[in-house]
Formats: sequence, structure tokens, C-alpha cells
Amino acid sequence: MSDGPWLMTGKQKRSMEIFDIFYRGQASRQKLEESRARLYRVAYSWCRNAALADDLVQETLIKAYRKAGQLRDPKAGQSWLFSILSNCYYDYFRRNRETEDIDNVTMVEDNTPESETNELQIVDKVRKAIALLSQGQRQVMTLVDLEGFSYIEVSQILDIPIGTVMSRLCRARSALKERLLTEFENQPGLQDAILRRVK
Amino acid sequence: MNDRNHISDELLNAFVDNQLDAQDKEQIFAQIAKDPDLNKRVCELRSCRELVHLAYQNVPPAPVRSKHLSALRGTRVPWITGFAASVLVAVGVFIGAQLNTAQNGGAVPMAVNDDAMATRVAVSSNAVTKVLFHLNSRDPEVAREALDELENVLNFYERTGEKAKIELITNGGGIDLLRADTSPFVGRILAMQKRYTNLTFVTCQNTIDRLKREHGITARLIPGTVVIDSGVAQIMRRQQEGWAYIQV
Repeated sequence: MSDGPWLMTGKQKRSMEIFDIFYRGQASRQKLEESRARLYRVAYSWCRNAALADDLVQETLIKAYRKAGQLRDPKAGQSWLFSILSNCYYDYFRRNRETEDIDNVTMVEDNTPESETNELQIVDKVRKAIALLSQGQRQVMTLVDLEGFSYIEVSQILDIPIGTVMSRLCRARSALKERLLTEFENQPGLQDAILRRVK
Repeated sequence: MNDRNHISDELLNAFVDNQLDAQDKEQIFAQIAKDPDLNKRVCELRSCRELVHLAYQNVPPAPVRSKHLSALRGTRVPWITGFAASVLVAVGVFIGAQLNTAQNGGAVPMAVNDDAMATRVAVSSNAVTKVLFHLNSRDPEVAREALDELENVLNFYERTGEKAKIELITNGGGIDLLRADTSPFVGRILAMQKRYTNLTFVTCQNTIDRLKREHGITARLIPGTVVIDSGVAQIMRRQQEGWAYIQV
């Protein structure tokens, strides 16, 4: 059995460390880049603005790269990334909305081009309904529904108690149900389109 | 008691999101099989989840990033493009950062949260009026007064257009107001939750545990109720965060 590493000089060990750090840096950048699309989708669902969502994601990835050494548990990588995204989002509001509590912010619908198809009408209506939720409810719902995070993970990402996660999710879905399902039930065309899409 | 009281909306959401253990899931499956209304609620929740997924399945493409990064921080970080040209510098900086981390004994993961959350609290406490109501009596008349007070305050802030967050925290006998099987005001509370998005009903885990331990009662809470660890601790936290405190 080789005991090579024990025979290395201090200088050799230092060189190995440098190469190791270098390759780990490359690997972590690649991993982070693979998460870009997921982060962007969630960021867009929070802020409804493509340019801002892209900025938030870029800032998130830069911070994650700089702090990669702090992540002790690689399995928690995705939760960790989304918690940085959430903090970037709060920071953005701190810089731009000094007088408003983010939990009370409801986003206004941006000018998505209206489509004539039923399917895009649904997308438009659902996005509008989601935009009317409180920020806290919207964040919890998108993390659970879009990214499939567990309640515990969402609680860690947003730094809120798990009971609050459950309560916000419950209220968010209840509001969506009230705003959307009744309406869709009364519109046969839309109902058909939902049934086609919901697997 | 109907099944809506047996299985709370929170529990049903957890079921739909596959957050329950096998035993709980099994019980709910059994109830769904014999209760069409429960089955309908599950279908509605699943539809909501699918609709959210559908709404953001395709999002608009991100714009060209280089325009936005420079505006964001005033500096552009060449971390993907141009990386090869600065390998030595990057390695040096990275090693420096690693050594620095090591010298500090390693930072706590997600330490970034602390500053951001502290800022959040500071900003929010400046911007919004926050009122904490406290109810620890099981007397229905006192509970009615509490709900009246809440509505008065909420309507006042609604009229004036000022931002406000209102929380009713219950502990001791006050939890009865938020128990689906004992509260005389279930409908009113659900209606208030729907109407006022800035209102939160909160109860205390210690009280729930005590009910179970001393009376063998499992508290079934009205949907939307938030459970916190300790009512007293929550009152102290809220006061430290600048909330006004009113005991009913």
C-alpha cells in the first residue's frame, strides 16, 4: 500500500492543494451554472421582470461562488442557493423600497402579450392571481410547487418557522382556488385546456 | 364534527405535497376513499399546484446579462467569460479566501442570512404599524371582544391606507378561539383571514402540548392558524421588534 502523500515535501503538498482548489473551483462554477435556469424561473415568478430576475440570479451565483467554501453539506447545495437568491431579493427591496415591508408587497402584472389561445389565457390568469398574493405566500408557493422543495427546506431557505410555511402555502392555495378554479369551471374552453395540460 | 374539521387544510396540503409519513398518508387515503368532498378538496389542491407549474413552465428568456450586471453593483465580475485570461489571479484570490476562511475557523453556512434578515426587520419596523393582540381567556365574550377589536383596527388602517400588520396570539384558554372544535367563531375567523391578508392568527405549541398532556385533547386548529413555539417568547420577540402590544 502506498503512503505517498506522507512522503511529500511541504512545497509539493502546497502545490497539490493549489491544484485541488483550482479544480474544485472549476467544478463548483460548473455546478452553479447548471442551476441558473432553475433560479431564474423562480426569481421571475417572484419579481415578474426578466431583467431583474436575471440580475438577481447573476448576483446569487456570484455570491454562491464566493461563499462556496462555507457550504459544509453538499446535499444542501440547492437550498443554500435559493436562500442566497431570497436574500438578494430582500436586499433589492431594501435598496429600492425603503418604506415598504416586503411581506406586504404585491407585484403588479407586467405587460405580457396577450395570446388568443386558451392555454396562454390560463397562464396569464394564473400569473395575475399569483401576483396578487403577498410576497411571503408567493415565495413559499413557488418554492414548493416549481422547485419541489420540502417544507423543511423552504423553512430553511426563507428562514421562517415550518408552521409559517404551511400556513402561507395553505392561504396561497386557498386564494388561488377561489380566484381561479371557480372561474375556470364556468368556462368550458378553459376547463378543457387545463385538463389537457394537467397530467 | 365534519371531515373538514378532522383533516385541516394544512394537513391536506402536506398530503398533496407528499410531506407526510406513511401512516398519516394511509389514514388520509382511507378517508378520501369514502368521502367525495375530501376527494374534491384534494383534487382542487392538486389543480392549484399544477396551475402554478403551468404558469411558469415557460418564462421569458433572460436579457443579455452584461447590460444588467454593471448596473447592479457598479462592478463586473469576470467569473465565466474571461476566466482563462486571469487564471493566476483567480487562483490567488481564491486561495486567499480559503486561507482566510480557515484562519477564521470556518464561517457558519448561510451566515449571509443574518444581515439580510436583520435589515428586513429594521426596514419593516420603520415602514409598517404592527400591533400584537394577546388573548389568554377561553371566555367567548372576551374572544368576541378580541375579534371586534381586531376588525376595528384593521378597518381603521384600511380606511387610512396606512400599512399595518396585525397578529392575534393566543395561549392558555385563548387557544379555544382557534380550535375548530371549540371556537364559536370559526366562520368569522375564516372570513377575516380571507378579507385581511395582513392579519395572522397565532397559537402556542406549549399550550397545544399541555392540552394533550393534561386533558388528552388533540387540538385541531382552524385552517390558516400559525403555530409558534411559545406564546410568551413570541410576545417578547414581537415587542423587541417594535410591535405594539394589547392584551384583550
